[in-house]
Amino acid sequence: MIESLGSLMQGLAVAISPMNILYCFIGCAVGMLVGVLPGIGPTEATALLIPLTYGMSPVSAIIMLCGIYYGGMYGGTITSVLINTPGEAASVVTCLDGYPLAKQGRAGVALKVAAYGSFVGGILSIFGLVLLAPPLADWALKFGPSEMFALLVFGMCMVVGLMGKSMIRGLVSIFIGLLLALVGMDTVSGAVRFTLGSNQLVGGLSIVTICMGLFGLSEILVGMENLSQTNKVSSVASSKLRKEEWGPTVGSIIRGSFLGFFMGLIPGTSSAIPALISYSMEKRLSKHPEKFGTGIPEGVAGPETANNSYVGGAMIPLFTLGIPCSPTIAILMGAFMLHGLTPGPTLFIENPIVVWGTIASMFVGNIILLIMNVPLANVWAKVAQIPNKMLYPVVLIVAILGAYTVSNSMFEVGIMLVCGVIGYLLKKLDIPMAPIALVFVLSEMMERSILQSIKINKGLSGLYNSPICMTLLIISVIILIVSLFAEYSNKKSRFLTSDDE
Amino acid sequence: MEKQITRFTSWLKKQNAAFFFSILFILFSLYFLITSFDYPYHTKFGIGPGFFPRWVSILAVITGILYLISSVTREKFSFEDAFPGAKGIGNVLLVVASIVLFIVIAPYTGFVIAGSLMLFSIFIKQYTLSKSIIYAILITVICFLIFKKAFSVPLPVNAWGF
Repeated sequence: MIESLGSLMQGLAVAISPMNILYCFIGCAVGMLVGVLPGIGPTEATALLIPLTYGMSPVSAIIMLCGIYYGGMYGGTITSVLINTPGEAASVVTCLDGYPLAKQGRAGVALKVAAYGSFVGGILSIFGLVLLAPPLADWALKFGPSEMFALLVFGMCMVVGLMGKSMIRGLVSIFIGLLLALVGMDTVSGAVRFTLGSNQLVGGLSIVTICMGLFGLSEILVGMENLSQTNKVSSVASSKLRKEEWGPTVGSIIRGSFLGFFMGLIPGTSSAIPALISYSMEKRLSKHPEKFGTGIPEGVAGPETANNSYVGGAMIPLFTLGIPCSPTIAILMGAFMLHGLTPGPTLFIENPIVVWGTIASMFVGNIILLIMNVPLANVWAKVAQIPNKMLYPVVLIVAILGAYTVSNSMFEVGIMLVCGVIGYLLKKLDIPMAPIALVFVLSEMMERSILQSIKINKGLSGLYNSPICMTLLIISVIILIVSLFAEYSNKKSRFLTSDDE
Repeated sequence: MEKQITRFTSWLKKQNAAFFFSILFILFSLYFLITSFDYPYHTKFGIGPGFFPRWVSILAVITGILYLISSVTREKFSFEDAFPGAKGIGNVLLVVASIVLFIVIAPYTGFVIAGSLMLFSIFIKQYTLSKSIIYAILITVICFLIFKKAFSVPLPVNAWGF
């Protein structure tokens, strides 16, 4: 505990260097921007900015990219409250009470409550990250290849179990990710596989290009179907929280913080899920549930706190196990690798400056976002008024540039186009895309761990002789069975998928 | 000819899109399965590079077959329900075609001309001719300056340097 705080202080020294504060600010501002703009989210923005970080030091690059992730959570709130249009999926629930509050002339209350809730949730979850991550990383160091393989299977089952509405469609998505990851040089044997004779595919497909296509271009294609959208903005009339509203609002912020943080630990969830659960939990706990949906502050505070708190929790599996929980985290993992870092338990030992510098920068980033949020809400709302017929073409050319910069070749733009068309079809067929990104980055680790396990144990005995393995595999099977049963009995919760994250 | 196209379109609208996609997915998985036999399953050092792809593609084919069954029993998506009308599809195809145009011509014309043409082809349906030209050139030039000059990205250029 004291050791962690000492490391955090060292990280803070890195995070508050002028250049890192600047990068953090850029990340937060871009995050706010993409959170505000419907049609582009943190996933696409993170993918887009990765190629531009090649020249930066690893810690500065990761600080900036993380800023986009949690900045997006803040930004989505403003448009939910002022124009009833969520900038990203996690803010969908905020519309329910945020917009009615704005119509009552209390938009200022909604935005302040959301901003302070987001700040508290963000800060508490970072403390959770500081406390939980180091011991979890120590424990994960004991994992051998068999345990790692079982953990990855467990993660994939969670993804299939929680994401989307149909298990079979989730599995289709998982296998698309696994098959795409097979393309290129096998890191274990060095064999070149499934390249169709193309030299440009020897290095494999890039997660950045795939995500730009699946999430970015597909969103543009869906948006281009109907371009006649206009948004009306409510003004941010200043208003104070009433005396009787303080208690329930503070309570919902505290509950939202814990809920979001623990949901972040579960692979396959998205920031939209804790927001949704928080809203229904607050409604159940409220003395006046009938007022939910008519414009009450706790209906905004709980979900907004939960979706920001989720970010800190979601960083734990990445830092400690090298497992991404959401598409944006999967891209962050790609960024780690591009900068020569391997996310996982050894990261704390080999690159403590990057880990603790990034964690400390999240404190700084949350303060920057708090300052940028309420006072500048009207400015951000004006940005959201950019018509789609202008917004989508601009995003398109920026996405093309982003894909091009991956390897400075038109080949990557072509791959992005193919992935974009596939993403468009998947969206139309209601097949979740987040599992593709998550599985794509895990596939290499999965293959290496199962091959090593078979080699060490001369067969699959490593999987059933290890108690950790057996436990994880049994839980995985249970998750699949329960999920399948729930689907067939139509009792499965209709969670939002994290595709829109 | 026109009659046949109309007949084909109305036939397609009623077809099950999930069924067609499941067939595509099975073919995609089968490609990986068949190709995986080109790589050795075992080597003298142990398990070979064919092991993992073979098992993954076998499971993918099984998943594809299950999806195919489910697409005709439980999860039907007709093209009409899943996809927008002719105007919407037209807009989508326009974007795809404009990107293809960009990829093909950019190495010869340079980024600014290719990017401007791409954006112009999208803007022309939404704005007047003069506005479309101005917006397309302005946005492309701004992007070019940011990426080429500020970030030193080696964008494709023509003989005049743009």
